[in-house]
Amino acid sequence: MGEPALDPEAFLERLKADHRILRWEPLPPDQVPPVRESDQIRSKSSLEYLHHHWALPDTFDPAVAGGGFRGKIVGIVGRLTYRVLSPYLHAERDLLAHVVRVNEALEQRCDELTLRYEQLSREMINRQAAEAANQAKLAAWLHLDPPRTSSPDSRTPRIAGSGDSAIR
Amino acid sequence: MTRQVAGALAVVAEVHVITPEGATTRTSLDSVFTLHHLGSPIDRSAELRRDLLVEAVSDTGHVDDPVVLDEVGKLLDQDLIDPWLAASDLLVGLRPDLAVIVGHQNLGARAAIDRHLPDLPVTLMALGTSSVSVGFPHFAEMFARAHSVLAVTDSERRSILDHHAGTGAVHRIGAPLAANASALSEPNTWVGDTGYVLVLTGVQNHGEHHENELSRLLRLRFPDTPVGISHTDAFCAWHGGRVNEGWPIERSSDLARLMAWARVTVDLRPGTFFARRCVDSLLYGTPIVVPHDSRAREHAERGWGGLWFESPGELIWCVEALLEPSAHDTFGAQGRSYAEDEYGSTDRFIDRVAGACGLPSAAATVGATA
Repeated sequence: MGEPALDPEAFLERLKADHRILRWEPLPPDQVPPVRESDQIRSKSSLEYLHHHWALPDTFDPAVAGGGFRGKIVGIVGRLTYRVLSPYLHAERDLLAHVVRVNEALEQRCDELTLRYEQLSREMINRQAAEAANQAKLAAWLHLDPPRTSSPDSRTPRIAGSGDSAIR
Repeated sequence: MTRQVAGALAVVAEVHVITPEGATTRTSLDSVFTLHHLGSPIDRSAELRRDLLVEAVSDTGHVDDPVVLDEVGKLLDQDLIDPWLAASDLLVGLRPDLAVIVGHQNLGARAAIDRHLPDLPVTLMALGTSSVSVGFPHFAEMFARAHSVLAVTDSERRSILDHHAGTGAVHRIGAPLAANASALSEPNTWVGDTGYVLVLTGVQNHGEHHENELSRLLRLRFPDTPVGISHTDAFCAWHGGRVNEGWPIERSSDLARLMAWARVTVDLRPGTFFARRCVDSLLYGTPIVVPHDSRAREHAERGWGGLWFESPGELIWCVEALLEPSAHDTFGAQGRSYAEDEYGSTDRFIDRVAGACGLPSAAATVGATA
């Protein structure tokens, strides 16, 4: 042999010593932030107001005219005005109804997207946490736990065919 | 192995091999020895029951309980003694100078010998047996009866001495192996002469098993080195993350070609005998990496032909170290020298077997029971 002899036991000891300083551990996973109720648009007070006040009056209320001659004149003018403006007021009411419905739909969509974002964010963080845990397991496996280098079935005794009664 | 030992003995003595096998009683000439079939084959289920009982009782921890052993002993011997009865008269007719019993569990052969020839010297061959079986008290009388015991490896020899301190001489006889020269003439076409790592497993390609996990770890850790993985159902050649899957390696000549051209042989399941594959690999100058608790460790440790691992991390370091040219060349040369000295010579094997059996140089008659 041209090369100097190598004792495998000493060689292994040196290998173990060399690799001991290169021990690696994964970063600990971040904590998953809790979902905040205030992140949802449904909690805004202006939307509550819109839901309760979108229906404006489309007829004249005689109570607001007051009494006496002046009241009668105001009542006549008021009814006349509402009658003349009636098509516009109905159209405006329909428009407002649609605007509120659209707002309602947008609000629901925003809430859905917010929840979906929260869900995806949680899934991503959970995945990162699982990967970090998996890496931690791998690191422990590589550095600490000896594998089962002989399987349970390798202990199965030799039986007929290669046993005592056969010529091997 | 019985045939090889009988062949070695036949060089220095007249050898008769007796076996309960065969459909009828008959005698024939088998190359260099005479073969006697008793025509009373042992039922496989009897041997299976015996081995199962040994494992079961050992697992319960009652191996030293005489009450348990007395009850179990009858079951252990059931249907294993009678098939050998006819050997008694045959042995009287042969008048052997020495009997070689194959297998320390072979109480039937011992009973056949002791029936008429209780003073006949006996040599026991304890072949590839687990430590549990060697140390089982029911078989202790076999070791006590033997004048000498033959073991293939040194670890096997030590295991016998650990369990049976009062046993006569325990001899390591090795085995007669030789490198197949034609294996070096043409590499396996799947992996070629690419300086690959050869991984030998004992499991199927697909499925959760620690041997597959270790194989996966190896090919992921060495993406630039071709890795050939031998499974029971396929041979997978990995080149740069791509796999070519072929037929499983079944012929010994194919395995020899793979080992002859490999850079390192990683044997994840060397078996319970003497890890012949690892010795073959060393004969081709290919260093080995083996589990620390396997029979193959002896070849790496005593033969200085490779390294052994306790954890996946150590497996990676060992392979990485042996891929390095100087370590590879040194361990390869050391391993080849060991394998050739200890296993590569038929003449030396014959000398060891004859010496272990205490045979005189003049021809003698030997009865071997297989």
